[in-house]
Amino acid sequence: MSVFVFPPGPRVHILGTGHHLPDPVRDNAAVIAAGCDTTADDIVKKTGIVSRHIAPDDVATSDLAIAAAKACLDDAGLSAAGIDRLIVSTTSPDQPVPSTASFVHAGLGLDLECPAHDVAAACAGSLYALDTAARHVLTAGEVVLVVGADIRSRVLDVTDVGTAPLFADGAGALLLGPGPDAGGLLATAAFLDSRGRDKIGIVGGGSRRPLTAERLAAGEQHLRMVDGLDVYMSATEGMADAAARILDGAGVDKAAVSLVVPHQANGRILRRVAALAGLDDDKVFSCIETVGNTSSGSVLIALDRARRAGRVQAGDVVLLLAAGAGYACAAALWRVGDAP
Amino acid sequence: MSTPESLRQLLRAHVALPAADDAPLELDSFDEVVLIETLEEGLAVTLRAADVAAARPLTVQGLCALVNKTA
Repeated sequence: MSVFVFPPGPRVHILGTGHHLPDPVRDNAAVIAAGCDTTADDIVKKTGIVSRHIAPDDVATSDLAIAAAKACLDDAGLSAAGIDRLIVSTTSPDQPVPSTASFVHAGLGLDLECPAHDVAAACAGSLYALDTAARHVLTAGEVVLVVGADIRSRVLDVTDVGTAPLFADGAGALLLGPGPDAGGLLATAAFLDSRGRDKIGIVGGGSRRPLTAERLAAGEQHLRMVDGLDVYMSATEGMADAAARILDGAGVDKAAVSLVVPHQANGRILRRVAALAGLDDDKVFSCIETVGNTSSGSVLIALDRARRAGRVQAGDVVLLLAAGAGYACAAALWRVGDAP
Repeated sequence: MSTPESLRQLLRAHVALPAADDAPLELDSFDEVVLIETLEEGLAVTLRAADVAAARPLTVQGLCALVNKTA
C-alpha cells in the first residue's frame, strides 16, 4: 500500500530531530576553482545554492550520521539506551559491506537488542526509512531512530556542471516513538516510478558494472545526471503527486497544511513543487542556499532547521516530501503535538 | 495559439535557440529547465515530464506543438 493512514488511537510521534553539517563550507567560487566551468552567478541563478558543506577526507558517512543522531537524542532528552531500532538511509555507505547502520550502531554504543539496517532510496530514502520506522512504532511500540546521511562529494566529478554545484554532504536524524492519541504522524506514503531508474545514478561499482581501470578512467564511479530536465520535471511532479495522494488519503485539505518541508534538491524544484501542488510559496521551507542538496540527509536536515527556527508550532500540520533517483518518491504528514 | 515566432520572442532573453525551427536545441540541462519554466510561466501552461520526453529532441517547432496541445 503506497499511502498508509495511521489508525485512530495511540499515535506515532516525532520525539526529537537533529542534524549535522561538516566543515569546511565550500562556496561557489571554490566549486569553480575545483574545475567546474561555470560562474558563481550562474550557479545561484540555476540552483539557488550559494554554499554547501563538504566532509573532510577522513570523515565517513557514519561519522555524520552519528553526530546527527546524538543531536537528535539530545533534542529528545533520551540516551542511546532508549533506542529499540536504528534505520540509516544512505546511498554513499561507509563501505559496501557491512551496512553503514553497523558503524552508526557502534558509534552510538547500541546493544545487541537494537537491530539496525540501511535503506537505499537516494534522496527519498529518509522518508522511506521513516515509513518503515513508523510501522515498527505502531505495531511493536518501539522507539526508532531514523538517520539520513550522505557524503555526495566523494562521488562527484568536480568538472560536471550538472552535479558538482548541486550536491553536498550532511546528515539529519529523527526519533520516532509511541505517544498520546493527539498529534503525531497522520500518514506516510512511498512510491517508485522505475522508468526513471537510468536518468540519474552511479553506473559503476555494482554487480552489473564492477569497477575496472577502464571504467574508472571513464568516470563510472561518479554520479551522473543523464537527463537533468526529466529529473527536474519528474521530481517535481512526483512530489506534487505524493502531496495530493497523502492529503487525500488522510482527509486533510491542503489549506490546513502549515508548513511544507521538501527535499532540498534545488531552488527551482522547490518553487515548481509548490506551484504544481497548489501550496503557498511562503509555506515551503528552504535551506537550499547554504546547505545544497544533501540527498538522504536533506529532508531531515531541513525539518530540524525548521523546528529550530521556530517554524513548527504545536498543532501545525507539516508535510514532508522527497523525490530521488529511481525515481523514488515519498511523503509524510505530521500533526505536531504539544511540544514541537 | 503559439507560433514558432511567438515562442522565439518569449524565449529569446532566456536561452540560445538555433536558427531553424526544426533544428534540435543545444542546451545543457539547467538551460532546458529555464526553457520549460519560461514556457510555463509565460504561457500559463503546465507541461508534463512524459510529454516533454516524447517531444525529444526538443526543437522550436516541437515545443510549439507541445504547448498548443497542452494549452
